[in-house]
Amino acid sequence: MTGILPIVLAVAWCLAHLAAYMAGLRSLAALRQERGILLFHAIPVVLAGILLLAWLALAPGDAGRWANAVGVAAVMGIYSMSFLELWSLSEGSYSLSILAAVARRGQASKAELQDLAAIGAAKQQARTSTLLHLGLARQQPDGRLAATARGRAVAAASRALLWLAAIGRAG
Amino acid sequence: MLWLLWSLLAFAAAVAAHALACRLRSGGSAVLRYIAVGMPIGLALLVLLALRHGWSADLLAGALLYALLSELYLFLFTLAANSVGLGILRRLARAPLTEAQVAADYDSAAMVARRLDQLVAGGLLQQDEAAYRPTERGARTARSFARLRRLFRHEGP
Repeated sequence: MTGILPIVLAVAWCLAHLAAYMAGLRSLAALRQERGILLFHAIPVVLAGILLLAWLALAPGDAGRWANAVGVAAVMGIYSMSFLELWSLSEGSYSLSILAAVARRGQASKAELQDLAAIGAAKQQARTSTLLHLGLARQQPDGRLAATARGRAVAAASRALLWLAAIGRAG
Repeated sequence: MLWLLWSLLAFAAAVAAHALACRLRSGGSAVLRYIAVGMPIGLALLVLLALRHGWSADLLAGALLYALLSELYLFLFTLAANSVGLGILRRLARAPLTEAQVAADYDSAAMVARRLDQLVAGGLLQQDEAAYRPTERGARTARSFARLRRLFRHEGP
């Protein structure tokens, strides 16, 4: 019988992590960059994963431990995913940047908003490089870009998600 | 470990109900539709787990797993819908393209125009003749966006 102490500790950990960030860590240059903020969340998650596996290995037949392990993983996953989504949304959402630009100006014509097109151009170039870097796309001998087998699998999964949510025109 | 089965079944039911809801009604946000179908299913799961397991780690694990899977699903389909990188990858999966063709497909002016259309459709902007103005909700969202940027210490306005 293990109770729910591990899940309670996971909630306490998340609150302490958030409090430390709000209290001052958010001003650190390293945590104002994508890589830094990702590591700030990924390192504790990996360490917690290792600790949970070791704890489960001590009594693999204890169903209470399995429930607690899933609960702890879910608490940490929900916290980190929510935090990183908000961080990323406020850092680089194209739609929100456009909305903010219109709100700042009070009103704007399509032509006046074309300075924001630079964000789109930068995104497109950065994403093409990222696809090549992640091995999802490759450059063919004729110079054209093509999806790799892994890239086709990711594209198929993404199409399946769009189909499920009945989202037509996207990207 | 029955809680695991109930949690997975509830999530599968929520995804199926969401797919159905997205086909029955047009317009509106797919995210809000998932919340509309996911919340009652989540509550039903909570009641079921409470009746079967009482106040226990099983109840919390089942409910938290459902919440995690729901958040992951929301994250993944909004990513699939909005990510420029995934959009390019889907096109590349259909046929190889030159860098120039990719750039033409993702013409920056067209991307701004598409986002403006989405903001108008979402009720965040209104279009009067050639000018766009934020709606009340749009202005509130822009203020929240600015607060979030300050909270996370992002640079710029």
